Amino acid sequence: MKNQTLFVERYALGDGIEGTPRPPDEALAAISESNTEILSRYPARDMRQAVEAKLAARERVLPFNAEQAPRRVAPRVARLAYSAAAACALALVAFLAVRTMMARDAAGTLANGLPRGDGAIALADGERAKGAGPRLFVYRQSDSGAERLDPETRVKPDDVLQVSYFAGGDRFGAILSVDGNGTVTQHYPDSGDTMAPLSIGGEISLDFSYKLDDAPKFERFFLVAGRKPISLRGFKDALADAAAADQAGTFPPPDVLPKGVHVIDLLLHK
Amino acid sequence: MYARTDVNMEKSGPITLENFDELYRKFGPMVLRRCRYLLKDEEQALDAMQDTFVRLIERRTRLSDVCSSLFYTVATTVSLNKIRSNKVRSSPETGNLLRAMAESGIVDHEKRVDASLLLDAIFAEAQEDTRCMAVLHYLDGLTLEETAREMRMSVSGIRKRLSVLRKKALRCAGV
Repeated sequence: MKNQTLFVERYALGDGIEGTPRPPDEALAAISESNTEILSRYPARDMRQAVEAKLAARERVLPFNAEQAPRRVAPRVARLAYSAAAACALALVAFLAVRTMMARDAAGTLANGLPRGDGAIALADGERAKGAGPRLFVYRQSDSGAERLDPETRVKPDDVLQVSYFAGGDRFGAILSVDGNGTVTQHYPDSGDTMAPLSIGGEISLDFSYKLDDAPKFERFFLVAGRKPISLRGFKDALADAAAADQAGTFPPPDVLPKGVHVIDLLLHK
Repeated sequence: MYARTDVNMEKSGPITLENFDELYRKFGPMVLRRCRYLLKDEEQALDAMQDTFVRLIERRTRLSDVCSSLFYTVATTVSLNKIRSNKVRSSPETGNLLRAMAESGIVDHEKRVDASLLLDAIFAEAQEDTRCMAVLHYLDGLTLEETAREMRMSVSGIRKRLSVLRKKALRCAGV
């Protein structure tokens, strides 16, 4: 038996109803009555304030490329403060990026010994990438603004994180994360299993930040990038399996992608 | 019978805080009813409804428009995330969904054990869109074609994902 709820809801909204039979009057009347009850109990103004509060809590880490940041309903002073913090973060990022690239030794490893992430680039077939290549950055909201996180930084539930990337010549990509529960979250693109076009022109932050939940042990972020869009379905499945089998989160990135696809990751402990 | 025609779909433009009131009055009650149905807890449902709007507002730059289908699937995903989070944090809490299945008549008594195994597999599933499509298909009773339209995916993609999910459920049950 089919649950008629979606159909009745859609019909009541006048949404996509052409060619479909009218639901029973009682069902439509029940929807109307429920609408009245809900809007009376939870007025739009109250809900807007609640949603604004949630957005404010999640967006305190401003993307450093401020022109891409979602519009906010915030006091002018706060916006100016955010802009100043964003400018500082951008300068810091530029400095660190140059310093890190200069520190790369002949073998492609980093002089500071970072194991992966933070610019350490691996090709799907295990080769090292030449040149700057794509990069993945994670920032955490802090009292002083945006704090860029090194690999294996310890984070905790309710930390607010902002993810950004540098395409580094690759045209398509996806950003995923997996947590200690083995849950894979796709941050970019919004949906689907295929890599989406990457923006070029510097470090690009995603349009939103994330508040960490209480998933245990680790959060690990992945940027998968390449010259052509490919399906990530197998990679996501393999990622979930690997995370479920490795409680420390230090498993090697799943070796299921075509040759030439870059995989950049950053592990955070909890 | 459920059907959808994209041709006549009414669209309301991108959601922002500026047009929040209008969109909330239009879609908010439907979202809350969906969250109530899945969560069976008023406080959690209200929280999930607000999270649904938060998620859509945060991603508005990539949403050319919004419609009832989008609100419905996002509300489903957000609610399932809450159920999964509760399940991971404390004890298994899928009884509400089992009751919903039983009350809707989608599964009869004999099939409830199978449904229980399937729900366990759904909440063990790591990807939230797979959880969402499984609930649309197995709980709401949408056909594969209808589920594909709601999820904006191909029918073959839906079929493949659900097939893998069922195999996982059977494997967990030792079948």
